[in-house]
Amino acid sequence: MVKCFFNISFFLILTTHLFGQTNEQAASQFIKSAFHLSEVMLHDVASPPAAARFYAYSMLSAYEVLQRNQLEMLALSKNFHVVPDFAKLNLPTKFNPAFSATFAMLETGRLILPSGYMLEAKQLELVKIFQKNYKLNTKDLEANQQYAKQVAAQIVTYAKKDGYFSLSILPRYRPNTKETGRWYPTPPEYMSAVEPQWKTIRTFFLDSADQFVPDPPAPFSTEKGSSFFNQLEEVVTVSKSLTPEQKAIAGFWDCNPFAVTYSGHAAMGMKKISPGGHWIGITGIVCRKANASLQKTIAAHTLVALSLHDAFVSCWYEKYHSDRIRPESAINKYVDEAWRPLLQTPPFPEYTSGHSVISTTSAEVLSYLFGENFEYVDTSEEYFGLPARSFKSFKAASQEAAISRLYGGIHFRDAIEAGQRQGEVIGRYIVEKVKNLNTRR
Amino acid sequence: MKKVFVVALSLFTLVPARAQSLFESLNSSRSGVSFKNTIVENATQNALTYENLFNGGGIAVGDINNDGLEDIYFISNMQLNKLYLNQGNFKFKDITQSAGVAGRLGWKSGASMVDINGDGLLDIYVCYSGKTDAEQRRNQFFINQGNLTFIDNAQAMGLDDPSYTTQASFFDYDRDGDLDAFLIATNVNVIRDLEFSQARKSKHPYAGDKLFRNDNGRFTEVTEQAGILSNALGFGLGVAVSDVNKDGWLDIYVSNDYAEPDYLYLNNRNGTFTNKLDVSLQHISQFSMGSDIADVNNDLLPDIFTADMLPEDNKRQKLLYGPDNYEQFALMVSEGYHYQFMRNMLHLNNGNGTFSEVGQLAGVANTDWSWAPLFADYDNDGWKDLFVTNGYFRDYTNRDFLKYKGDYYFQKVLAREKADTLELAKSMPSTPVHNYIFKNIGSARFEDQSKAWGFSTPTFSNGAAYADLDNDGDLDLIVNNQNEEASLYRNLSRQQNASRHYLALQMKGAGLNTQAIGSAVSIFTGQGRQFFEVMPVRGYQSSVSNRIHAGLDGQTRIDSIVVVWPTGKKSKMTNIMADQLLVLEEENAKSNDQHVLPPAATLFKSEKSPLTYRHTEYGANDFKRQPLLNTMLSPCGPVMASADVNKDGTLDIFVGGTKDNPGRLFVQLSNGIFRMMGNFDFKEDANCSDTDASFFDADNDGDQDLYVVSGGYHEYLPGQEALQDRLYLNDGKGNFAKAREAIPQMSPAKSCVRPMDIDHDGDLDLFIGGRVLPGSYPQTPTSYLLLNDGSGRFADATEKLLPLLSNLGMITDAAWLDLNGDTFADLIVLGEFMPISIFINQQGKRFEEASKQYFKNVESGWWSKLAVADFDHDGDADLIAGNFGLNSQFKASESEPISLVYNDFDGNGSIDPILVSYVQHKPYPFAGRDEMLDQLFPLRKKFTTYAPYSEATLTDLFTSSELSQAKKLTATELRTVYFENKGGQFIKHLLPLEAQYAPVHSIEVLDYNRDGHLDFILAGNQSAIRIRLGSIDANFGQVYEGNGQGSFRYVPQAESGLSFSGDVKSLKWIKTPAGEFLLVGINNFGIVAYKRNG
Repeated sequence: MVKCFFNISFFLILTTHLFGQTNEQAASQFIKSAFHLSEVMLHDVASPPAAARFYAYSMLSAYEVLQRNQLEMLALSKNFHVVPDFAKLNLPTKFNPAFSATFAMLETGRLILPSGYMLEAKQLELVKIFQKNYKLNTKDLEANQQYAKQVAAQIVTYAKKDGYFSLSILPRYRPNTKETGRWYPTPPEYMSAVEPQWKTIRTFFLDSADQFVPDPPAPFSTEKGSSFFNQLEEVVTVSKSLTPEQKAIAGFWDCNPFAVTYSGHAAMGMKKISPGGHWIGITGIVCRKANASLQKTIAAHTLVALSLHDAFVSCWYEKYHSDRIRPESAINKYVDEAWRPLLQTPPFPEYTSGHSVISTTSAEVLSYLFGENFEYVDTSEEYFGLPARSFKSFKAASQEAAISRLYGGIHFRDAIEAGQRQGEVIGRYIVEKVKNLNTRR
Repeated sequence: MKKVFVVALSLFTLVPARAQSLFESLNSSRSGVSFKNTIVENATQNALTYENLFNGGGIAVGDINNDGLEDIYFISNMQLNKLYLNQGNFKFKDITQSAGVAGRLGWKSGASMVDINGDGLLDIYVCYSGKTDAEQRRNQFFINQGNLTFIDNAQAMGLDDPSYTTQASFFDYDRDGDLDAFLIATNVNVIRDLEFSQARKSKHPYAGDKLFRNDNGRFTEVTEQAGILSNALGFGLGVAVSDVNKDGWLDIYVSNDYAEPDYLYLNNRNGTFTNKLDVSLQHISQFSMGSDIADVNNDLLPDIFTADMLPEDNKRQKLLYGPDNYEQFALMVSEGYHYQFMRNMLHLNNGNGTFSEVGQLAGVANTDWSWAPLFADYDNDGWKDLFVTNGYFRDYTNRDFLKYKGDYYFQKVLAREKADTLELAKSMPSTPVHNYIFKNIGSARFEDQSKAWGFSTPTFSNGAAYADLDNDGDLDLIVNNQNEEASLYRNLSRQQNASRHYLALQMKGAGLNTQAIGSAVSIFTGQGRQFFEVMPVRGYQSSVSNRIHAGLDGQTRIDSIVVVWPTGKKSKMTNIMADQLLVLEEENAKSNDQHVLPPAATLFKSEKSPLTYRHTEYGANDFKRQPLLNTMLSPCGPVMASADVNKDGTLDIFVGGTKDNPGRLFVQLSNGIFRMMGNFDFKEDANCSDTDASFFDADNDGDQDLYVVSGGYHEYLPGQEALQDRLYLNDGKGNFAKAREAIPQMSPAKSCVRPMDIDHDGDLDLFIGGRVLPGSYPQTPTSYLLLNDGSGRFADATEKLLPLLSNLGMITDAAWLDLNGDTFADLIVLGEFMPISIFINQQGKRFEEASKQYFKNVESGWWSKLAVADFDHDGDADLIAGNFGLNSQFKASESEPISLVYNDFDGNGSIDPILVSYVQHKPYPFAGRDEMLDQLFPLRKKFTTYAPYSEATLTDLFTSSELSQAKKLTATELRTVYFENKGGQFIKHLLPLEAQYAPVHSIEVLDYNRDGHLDFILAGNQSAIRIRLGSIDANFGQVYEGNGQGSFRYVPQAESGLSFSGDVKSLKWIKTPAGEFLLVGINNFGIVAYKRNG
């Protein structure tokens, strides 16, 4: 029998450590704290791939705190493409897994996020909450903090070697103006290409950025009737007949961390949570709805975050490999120079659609964890003035996220569909790995 | 001629004893001028809803009642305008109500005083703009009734235009004797890049500029038929009218904010104009605001100045300026938006249709968010100084606002509060800045006197005008401020320095143009010459006094005054006394003068090149490889070398190539035309970038072999094949074959080859200059000494002869010359961020450094080129050392050097070059936060917002231990200079200021006028440069005429006839049967030629 990803027996052990706090409360606190990561990333304008990486290492710290001290949890990191060499750490005498795990997550965020200092206040709050509500004394809290910091430090050391700090050695993106159909920065800001060398970042489960390369995009053509031109016309047609529902869908899944709006010289970046942040938000909502235990909550967040990261690396490999033109540039040049997409075009090449890839991967992972027909209401965009949306399943949500890019006028259909296939393969691959890990034990 | 002597009020008694600034600010209790342009931010009008909210109001000055005292009219954007009657002695009376000139509520912008109907009385035109309905925007024309009352007659005249008008200028463009009207407008709606091409296509009813022809007092719009652009993209903020090409017909300069380039409309003399901006100006201000056209260097040619937004201080530069965006820039250029950079531009008129932009060299480029530039001689020393108003009530472009204020809406949701745009708009920082005033110190150089002359108070100032309000012989200033009382600055020049004289002229036109607007006035004194045009509308949204004011310094007498009246008539007066207001009347003028002079014969004239070579750059962007570079290193050709390769008695030429575009050999035919040699195949080396080439007999077989130096940057890696130099051996008939393994492996990108028989063994040895290690700038590349074995095989003897060369610096040029007369050639080298270095040849056995012996000071520079010749006929070789010049944001001196601090600071394997330069006497890293953080990730945690970075110095970026491990290169001299060889020392002499207009990349020494004295030509420019620095392109090929004694005269472009455009990398002066030619190698263009006249 395939074991569940987390272990029921763990629940009993854990409660003994929680003193007055229930496991559910601890899980809820973790989700609350995880949101603070999103807040900092929102402030820093973390790019979509960078955000996924930040989530991944932060969540991994929490997971490690639980996993290393609870044999029932799966040793995820032992199954990484590059296995980290974490030294054994001494547990505090009064180990509080809920506190330590949550604190370690914040601590890692503090260390790796540019404005990580903003999490210091959240760490203090966490300490106070555990002091007050769960009657932990200062000395024990201090010991647990020290432990959490040590774990976080190990994770950060592991993170430092993932290629991130070598990105600045590599050439920045240079538009290929010698060929047609290539990407070029897009209006209104013509922002530089985001993370052109992200393919060099180490993955967790995938053995390389190009392990799952999607089929090539339809070749660029201005010929009427060609696949590319048909798709280009489709974007225009769809944009002209958008229903209010389709517009709502496009807006709901926009997830543009920095859409610049102007008033003359005055410009301001309107911010939204990144695509990865959106799925972390969904994970939290779902954990709450499922009354998931702390360990399931952390396991779910971690697995989603690690998968998001791998999906982004894979997608970014393809983006700069195919280097495809965005609909906005192509339509303006070949069809209608006045055409504008509903959403602001994100600053990187078109193929494959990142949201399609990472949403499908996330849906695969969440379906594995919570079931294929898990219904939920996604309220995570309410912070940005967008009403909640209900979904019958993760798959349905990921399909909506994918097609939203067509409604938004920022992707061609093949980038969406190939992106979904790419995301699915990655998601299944990761789930299989985890399942095997389960079976092996 | 009628002369009016004005009784100058002696104000000496009023001047207190203490040292006083040139200007004294008079408050409203003293002057009676309490006008204040109050801007109220509210829910519908704020920084986020109306982008022009803080554009401010104008001023019009003029004598409305002909009592000899100039009166002032102020524009209030949101409230009512004011008219103040000058009652003398700086007392003013508000007569707005009785005069009937308050205007309407609604958004008002510019004002001008003009006698539109020729009745001798000044009328007032008021411009309306704003986000209102069209009816509220109808401009008003207050016609002077002669009794201090006015009646708006704009509608009847056809000038009640409802555009978003910024300002109107009245002048006689068709020379029919009456004043026509030109209106500029600025759109009130945001237009983003997305809509540019659409917006550009069609005439916009309200947002475009408009030209109206005066048909007997009724104005007819002739915009389109006259060739005036009138689209929604104009965003016109400044209009300056002048006869810039001095053909007797008035031209128009419109300065446009945002994307649309400015317009320079040259008058076609047939009622139409043609916009010649892109062929006249190499680059322009990006967010052009106010403007002025005046002769700033007293060469009798009008020069163009446009105001922009670049702050002077480091903090605001870093806080308000985003990262360079090369893709957007390239897109804008390719779509016809020209080269636009964010700073004030001073375009000096070369008198041949070209302008040299020298705002930075002049010291007037950075005056923050600037509105009204006004050139006038404020200190009566005979040179026009510059006053600039500035400031913007909200820091719209604050980077922290852009990047982090978006959090506001999110935070409001979290706090369960309602977002409030007004609150957000008001949270934008507000930073008042002081006005600038610069003293012209001659040759178009200016000194900031803002503090010393009384302008240290920070304000938000917009419209401004000058006039001698108290008729004491110096120009006072009036400034329209936001949310503060208008400023009246009394000029105390005459009181403080009575020995500086002046002359004021009141021009009286004969016909309807009673003010003689458009007259051109030249004044000649024992001290020099000055040029003026009567054109009251200048600066920003304002009109100044219509009198001409000339400062005369110590001159009490004017030799002559020459006036060309708007209709073409000419007057000349001689022997005029100073210190008076003189009235000149057109009635007394002679009949029409042809005025247009036939162009004088130039020294050189542009000719079809005798050799056809098109140079095409591969298109590298070096900043994508090392984002902290400041200039690109990839573009380095075309270079040229010449020799008679086929022994037919004529010089042949090799032109170096660049990556994917190999070099070519051209042989000269008997008719002086060059033919490309088909059998010379450089394709094998097509991946190379040729940085130098030299013909010499390498293998001692009596013919000229060719050595080509490989350099550049591109994607090259040190040691790769494309960086290896090449030697091509001649078979004696001009056929070349590559000599393989004749030269040792030399891994860096190199700059030059200099052959010389170092060891007197009868063959030519080589010095090879190392330029850069591509990807690792500014790590020191090796330079080389190669010894010839006599058969054309070269061995690396650097270690033996001159080991210092392996770590000397980034060499750009070198020369061999025997400095000590021992017949052994000594080596002189220079380069980027290194001292000029001299190595004495010890009998061919080794070299010893003797730089200190030959130079009194260490001459560290951003050296780029070296020429050696005996310019002063004393038998030894002097030097011309080409440098970066002074026409950039960078300055350097012994006490304030520019330096390059470098190391792998973040330990990730890449060199991080940090350029540090002084701003306001303090050293700061040059790179902006975005660029710095893009290269050094660890700094992302250190500088989480723009604000702390905007004040960071090197020690804030790095720890002292990090800095102690870093290396440092410095430059203390950026000027191109002449070193006179005198008694075993090189004595530095300055060249004419023009030599500092641009980086020098080529120097050709010649005797162009055959007077027996050596002259030289400087060429260069630098457009492969950071956008923030902007193209430096003011050098059109400068001839310096030597007098044989080490002194050189810059030959003006209109006299030399040279007009190179682009980045020149090489020059070659050749004599052919078809004449003498100057061949010019222009990067990414090809070879062009100039032929010597006569």
